[in-house]
Amino acid sequence: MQSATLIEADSLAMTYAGGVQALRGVSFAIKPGEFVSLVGPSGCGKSTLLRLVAGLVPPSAGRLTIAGKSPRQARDALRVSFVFQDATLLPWRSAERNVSLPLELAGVGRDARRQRSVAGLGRVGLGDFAGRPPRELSGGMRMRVSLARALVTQPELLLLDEPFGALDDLTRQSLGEDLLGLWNERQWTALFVTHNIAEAAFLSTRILVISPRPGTVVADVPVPFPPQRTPELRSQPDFARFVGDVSAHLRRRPL
Amino acid sequence: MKDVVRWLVRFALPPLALLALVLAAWHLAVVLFGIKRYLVPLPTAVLWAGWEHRATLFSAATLTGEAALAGFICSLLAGFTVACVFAQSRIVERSIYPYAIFLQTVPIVAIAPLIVLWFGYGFRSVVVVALVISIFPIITNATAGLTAIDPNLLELFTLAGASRWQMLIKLRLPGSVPNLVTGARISAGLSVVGAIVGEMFAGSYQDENGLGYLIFQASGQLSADLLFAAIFTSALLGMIIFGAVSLVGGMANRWWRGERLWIG
Repeated sequence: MQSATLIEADSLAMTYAGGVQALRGVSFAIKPGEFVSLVGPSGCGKSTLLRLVAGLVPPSAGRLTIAGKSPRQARDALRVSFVFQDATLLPWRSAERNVSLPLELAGVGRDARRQRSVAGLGRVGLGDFAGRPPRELSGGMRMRVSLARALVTQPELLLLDEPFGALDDLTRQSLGEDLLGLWNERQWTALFVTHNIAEAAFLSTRILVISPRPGTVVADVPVPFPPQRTPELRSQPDFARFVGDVSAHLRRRPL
Repeated sequence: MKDVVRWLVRFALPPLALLALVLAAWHLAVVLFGIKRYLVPLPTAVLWAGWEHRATLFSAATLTGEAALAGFICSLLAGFTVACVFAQSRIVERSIYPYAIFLQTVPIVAIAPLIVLWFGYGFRSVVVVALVISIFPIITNATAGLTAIDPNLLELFTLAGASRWQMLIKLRLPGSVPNLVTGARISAGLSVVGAIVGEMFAGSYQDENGLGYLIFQASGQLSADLLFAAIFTSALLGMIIFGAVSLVGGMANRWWRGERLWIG
């Protein structure tokens, strides 16, 4: 299916039961294969937006379709994976058995499961750690396992909720580079929530800037760098200027 | 071998030294203050009574142990089933929970005669008393474990299209192991108390006496030395059951943390 848009949001609003308005008038369209980052201050509702797309909560108002279907239906029709801020691994399962969990729940046979999860762990650089339980892995390695688990079903849409937020800077950068490499390999559509503008600029093809609560899209910025990126990009003047421009959008918020 | 010796010196020596001290103080107190022997027997007399009645004490402890273990296993199964129902439905939990507390607050000695009335004199009543007293910690701890699963993990399973059954078997059940172990350890100790209380009401059966009945009998006959021996045997039985459950529980916890089951 190669339609023009994969995700289409039209005047989305989200008000929680307590009366807290998290989102208002959110509209955007995302094409298949795009890597879109949602940046904004903490509590601006960007995580809520991700949960709406995942179909975990319904919007209070507005229309949201994924490949022409509701988020709930889309979850069954195409493969959607979610990466949380924490690795959220099962402590009693080895890295390999954690990665194979989505396949297990989908009823994939044991041998195929094993083969695909070991290959998936190899792709995130953890081929030698398949038998290790999460407690024997570092924070960065755990997040790699989490990433491998999200990708093992070969998703068409990957939703990432500040996945590297709890990691140190160096680990965060190296995971970002690996994520970009994986995306270049197989161009799934990505929706990446972060409050780190440099990270968003390095990873994405497009950035949606969200205002503070109630969140709404205040800027839709295409990222001017080619999709094949190297770590050196981070130290180029163009990159710094672009990050500055995006930050300006955030500062121009109504208070 | 050297490690074993060091372990014994570090962990077995202090409590044994204290035991010797307490026994010596006990003996001295009885002799010095002239306490009547039918109220507090000498430690040596208790030891002698224990040796003399070793066959009776052993068969009593076996019988009580069987009842306690049966009650404990029943409360583990029944308690966990109740907890699963609680975890599936908040309304069911809210409606049953007050009665579970009621069951816990009524003194076991007050319900034991009723249980004997319903289930008759014998093993069955003893098991039921042990079950009633030991089920509550299982219900509360297992419910806590089943419901306190990381919400992100629940969402992960939901997004992967997991059924309720898969969520129970692959997430809630294994996830609640540490809580279940905590509940089981408390419950194991209580089941011995329940069995002994039960035996005091259910009496002797199958030509055999449990520890509870033995204690009842010994106090009736004013044989303090046998009474003391039976009390110590009860404590020993409780420790054995508690220790066994702790051992299995420790293994379950190591499994939960992704460690090897056996140290070494």
